[in-house]
Amino acid sequence: MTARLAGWIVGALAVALVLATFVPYGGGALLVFAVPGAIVASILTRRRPAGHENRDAAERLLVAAGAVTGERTSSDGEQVDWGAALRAELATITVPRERRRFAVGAAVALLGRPQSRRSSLVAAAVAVAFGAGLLAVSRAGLGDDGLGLVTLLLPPVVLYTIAYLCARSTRSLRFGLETGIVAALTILVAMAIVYGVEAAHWYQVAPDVSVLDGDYVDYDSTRAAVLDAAHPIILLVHLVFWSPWPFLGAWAGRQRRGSPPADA
Amino acid sequence: MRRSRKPTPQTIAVVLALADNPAGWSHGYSLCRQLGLKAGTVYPILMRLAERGQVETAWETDPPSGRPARHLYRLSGEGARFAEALRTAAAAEIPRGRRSRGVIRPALGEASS
Repeated sequence: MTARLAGWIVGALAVALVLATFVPYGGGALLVFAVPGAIVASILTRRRPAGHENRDAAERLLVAAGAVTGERTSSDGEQVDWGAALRAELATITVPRERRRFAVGAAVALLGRPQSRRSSLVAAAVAVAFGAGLLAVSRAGLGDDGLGLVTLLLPPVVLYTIAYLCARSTRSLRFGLETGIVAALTILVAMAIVYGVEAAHWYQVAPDVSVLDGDYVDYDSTRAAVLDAAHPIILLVHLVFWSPWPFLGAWAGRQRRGSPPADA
Repeated sequence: MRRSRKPTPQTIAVVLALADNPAGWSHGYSLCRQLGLKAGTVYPILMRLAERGQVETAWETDPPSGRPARHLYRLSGEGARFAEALRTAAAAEIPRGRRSRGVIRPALGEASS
């Protein structure tokens, strides 16, 4: 982590803490978004390296496509940076129209092969583990806070870590992003299922307790308890809280040390 | 287990173009121009062939100053066998007397290194 990024995070947390004391509701949300906001601000305000100002549209397109795609592994295990390979090839083309045509085709080549099967497998495994863990926590007892605190705060850590590891292991922002986003959606599905099952279970055990926050709620049926716990608004709020973390994890994982052999 | 699908005419063209340059390395853009194919067609083929071990890749070791090292491609031993199988299959499919106008082939004689 750079000193500049650390400064942004400390500053954002300080501002969020001050603001949170004046806001009656939603102060927690300010804190949750402080760190992602600081990282995004740090990215947007960073200086461009020298020599990058003269890039034309074709080169910018390839740089962007290469940043998302990362490296691929050849059959002998060698990591091939196809983005760098295509940028190097572009550097030999001087006619602007031909550069644009080549860059468009090359970007299609870089972006056209999703790694969705691996992403789906990782995301499914994570969702199953999360769902099983949440179920175990619920059966151990709801406590005073219910499951809401767990489902709100744990998935961001999980999503950041998955996206970070996937992006870092493959040097592919795209793979990290794909896996993180698919994991967020599958975890949401797993959470909704567990909330439904556990709302029904706890309605039989303690009919007036919400699985979301452990508060007393006067449910008149199992269906009402289930619909309250797995309500679309509840799911949407979770998704909003989780959404920055796959992006940040993938971005951080892509910032691995070491540069490709031929960076344009 | 990898599915074995019939290669597309474009894949055949790329493989045969690389096979026609067995000693040296080829550049991706040269292949595009030689075959009249777009980068969006040639590079996915090269990526796939490299992942399957049919194409070897390397970086130019001594690039001219002012531009980055280019990426180079050539058939591996497995790739050469694949090219030979493609030639044999193409020869078997094309009726006698029309072989010279058969499968898509790279324009011969164009420099590709």
